[in-house]
Amino acid sequence: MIRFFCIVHELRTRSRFCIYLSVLTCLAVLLLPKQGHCQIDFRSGYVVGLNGDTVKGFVAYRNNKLDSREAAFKKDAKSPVTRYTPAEISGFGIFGISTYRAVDLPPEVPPTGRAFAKVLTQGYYTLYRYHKIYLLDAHDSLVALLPPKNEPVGGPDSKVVKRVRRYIGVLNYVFLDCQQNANEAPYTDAALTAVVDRYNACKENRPFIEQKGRGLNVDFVVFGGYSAAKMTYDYLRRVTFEGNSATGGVGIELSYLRGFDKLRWSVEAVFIRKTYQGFYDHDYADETVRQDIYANITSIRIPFGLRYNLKAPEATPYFRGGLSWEPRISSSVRTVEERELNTGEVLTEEIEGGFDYKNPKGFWFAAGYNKRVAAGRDFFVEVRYTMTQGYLGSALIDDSRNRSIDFLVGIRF
Amino acid sequence: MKKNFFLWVAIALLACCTREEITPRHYPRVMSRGTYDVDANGVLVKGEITYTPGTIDDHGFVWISVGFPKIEDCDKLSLGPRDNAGAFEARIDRNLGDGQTYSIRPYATYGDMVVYGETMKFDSQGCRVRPAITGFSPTEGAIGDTITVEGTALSRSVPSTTVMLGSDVMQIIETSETQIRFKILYTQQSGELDLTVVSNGYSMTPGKFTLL
Repeated sequence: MIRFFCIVHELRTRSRFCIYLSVLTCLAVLLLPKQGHCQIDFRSGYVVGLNGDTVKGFVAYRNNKLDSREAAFKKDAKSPVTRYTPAEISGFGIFGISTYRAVDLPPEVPPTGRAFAKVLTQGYYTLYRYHKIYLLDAHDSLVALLPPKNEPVGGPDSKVVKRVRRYIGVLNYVFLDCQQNANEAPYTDAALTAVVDRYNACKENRPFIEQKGRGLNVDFVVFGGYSAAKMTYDYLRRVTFEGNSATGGVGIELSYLRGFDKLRWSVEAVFIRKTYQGFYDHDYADETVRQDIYANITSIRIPFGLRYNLKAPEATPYFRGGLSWEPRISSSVRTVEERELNTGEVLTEEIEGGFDYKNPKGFWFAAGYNKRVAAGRDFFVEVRYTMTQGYLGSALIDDSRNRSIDFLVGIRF
Repeated sequence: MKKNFFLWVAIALLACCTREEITPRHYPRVMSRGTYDVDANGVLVKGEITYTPGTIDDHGFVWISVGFPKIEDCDKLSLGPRDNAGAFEARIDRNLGDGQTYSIRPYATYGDMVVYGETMKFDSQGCRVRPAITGFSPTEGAIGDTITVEGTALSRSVPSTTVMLGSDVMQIIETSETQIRFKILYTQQSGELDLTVVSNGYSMTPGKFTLL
């Protein structure tokens, strides 16, 4: 591996496409499939047999689009996959994320038969979701809470429609004994879960505590690394600046574990302090002017966007991307100018300032690998590429561009 | 582990410094680093050679009270050759007049090139080693003759040097730290006249000159 990176480094120094090469290399290393891994995203979980016995192992992570008539299970990472039908087990679950139970679908929910439904809340009554339809387990029967729909009113030629929400009527009828209703409940996981929870609390003679943001997970991120940047500025002609430095920052990531936990929203604050160095020279009639331009920039880059995990968060490659805004904390430019006269004399002069500045905006994307090292604590490595405006020049003119590639390591907790 | 990680990130960020690099070129880069400790004995001057492509033949400081300092005809302090980059400084204790504003800059000679740092200015309060005249010859002459004045700590700068016979200013041909050569211009004076030499504002009268 070291030899491999040495070759890449050598190529970098020779190639003008070094940044793109680095990104591709890191992506390849991160995403190369390991032997023995299959395409199914298995998570730590369990299945419950028909006799009530629980068997721990790994259960295939599922989303709403997956087949609800099958559950894939492995006893351990190297075991073969066993596929259960709803007739073979009474349910399964993924620790900390979701529970599924085998239910007999009511006739209003085609295709009828036995299927796995996701448990949204349980208590006196249990609320399930089967694909996009909610089911209420009212002890003696499983009631389908059909989604709202528009029905025509006033004959076949009428264009007037009425919004019919029968699920509210069903719930109001069920909740009568507690003098509760579901009149304001939209047809969503959170709203229906809340009204069923309230009813369960009433029936169980306990106070109802509304749980806002249930399933919302907040992770904090701290990271550091190395940042290599290249900036261009259309000065008297295009001047290229280079700036390399250590970098680091903090951030937060939000995910909805009970929904689709592979997708996360993130925002970070990255501290950047760099000296960008550029060189300009030009031959005039009787002298040559050479300028070393040093732009000292300190800024906080705020990249926000989405992260997508390819596998379970315990060990997964991931992609990230989004928008970036970078307010400057301080900025200054120092120019060392040398005029080489045709007499053989060189006159040196230091010039401060003389440039306009802007707060760059742009895009970023990243690839990385996340590994859980302890409970609630992940370690990650990441390669991030950021394309923004440059720091120099007018905010109204596209005269400066900045490209940076960051190699980061960090922890999430 | 978390604490250690935070610590390392903080150390890396605080320790990070991006060093200014110099684009290679075929001559040294000389930077001015300021004047310090100006008093009646002189001034401390600092400079730095931040890049050199090879051995520097000579480096030091040049200064003058009028115009831009150059190594050919201005007061100069030479520190000799050097083969590497680095800072240098010198205490200048001669060729500085009291109450005059001087322009001073570091220099380096490399082959046939002379590189100057940025010009710095300071208000002089005098110097420890004052100029002195030890003699002159011949002691008599006519209009058009060239006279040589011998001395120590004299100014190399023609604009900083004045020679007068009686009340008339003479034409200076050349100056060095030990010698001034001047030509007697037309004057209506004659006989024994005071010879007055002014170097960097210090006035000296070494004796009488007989104008034939």
